[in-house]
Amino acid sequence: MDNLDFENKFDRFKQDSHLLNVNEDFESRVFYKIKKKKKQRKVTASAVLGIAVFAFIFIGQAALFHKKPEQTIIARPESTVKEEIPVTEDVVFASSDSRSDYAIEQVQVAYYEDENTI
Amino acid sequence: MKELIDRLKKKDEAALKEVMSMYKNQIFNYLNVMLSDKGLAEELTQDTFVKVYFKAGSLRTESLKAWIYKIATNLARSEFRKMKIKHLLSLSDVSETHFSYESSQENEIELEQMLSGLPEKYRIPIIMKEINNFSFEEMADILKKPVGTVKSLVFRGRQQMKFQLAPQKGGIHG
Repeated sequence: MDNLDFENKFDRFKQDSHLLNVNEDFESRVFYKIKKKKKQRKVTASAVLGIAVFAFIFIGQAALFHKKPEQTIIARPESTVKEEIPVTEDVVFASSDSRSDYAIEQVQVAYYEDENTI
Repeated sequence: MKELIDRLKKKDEAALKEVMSMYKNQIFNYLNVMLSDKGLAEELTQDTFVKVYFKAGSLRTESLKAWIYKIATNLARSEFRKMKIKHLLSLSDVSETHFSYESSQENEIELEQMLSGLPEKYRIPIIMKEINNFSFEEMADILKKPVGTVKSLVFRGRQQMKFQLAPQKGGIHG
C-alpha cells in the first residue's frame, strides 16, 4: 500500500461518511446531568458541613466535661545510695546439762565511786 | 468568541447551548471514530459538555475548540483504560459483516478496523490529524505533548496502519 492510497483512504472516509448527528434529546440530557451533578454537590457540601458542625460540637462538649486526670504518683527512681538501717539483735543463749540451766542474760553493770566494791 | 467564553464562565446555560450547537456533532463523530461505539460516544459527548459547564471557570486558553477536544480526549482515554476497549474491539468481530456493505461503507469499515487495531497512543493523534484536520500545534496543546512528539506519534501510527493493511492487501490479491 503506497502513501497515496493511504491518504486516499482518509480522504474517501471524510467524503463518504456524512457527519453523524447526536440524538434530539441530547441537550436536555446534558442539562439533566448538570442538574443531577449540582444536586450531588449540594448534598456532598451539606454532608461535609454537617460533619464539621457535629465534630465541632463533639469536641466542644468533650473539652467542657472532661475531668482533669488525678495526679498519679510517679515512683522515684531508686537511689543509688543505700540507706543503712541498724539491726539490733537480742541474742539469748541458753543451755542445759540436765542438772542446771544456764542462760546468758543481759547484765546491767553499775559503776560506783568506790572502786573496791562492786 | 471571547464574549461566549465569558458567559460560559458565568455558568450561563444559554451560552452552553450555543457551544453545544457548535461542537456537539463534531465531538460526537470524533469520539465515535475513536471508540467505534455510537452509544458510548454520545454518552461521552454529553459528559464532555457537562465538564465544559462546570470547568469553564478554569478555562485559560483562547481556543475553546481545542479545550473541548482536550476534555473529550481525556474522557476517551479514561474510557480506554476503564473498559479496555482495545480488547472489545477485536478485528474478528467486524470482519463477518465486512463484505455486505457498499464500497464507500467498505472503506469506512476498513478504516475503522485499522484504527481499532492501533494502540491508543497512535489512534488518538491519527484521528485528530487525518480525520479532524488539527494542526500539529493544536494537537500538541490538546494532548499536552511537544510538537515533535506528536509528529512522531502520527508518523508511527501511519506506519503501523500501513503495516497492518499490507497482509490484508496481499491476501486479497493473492
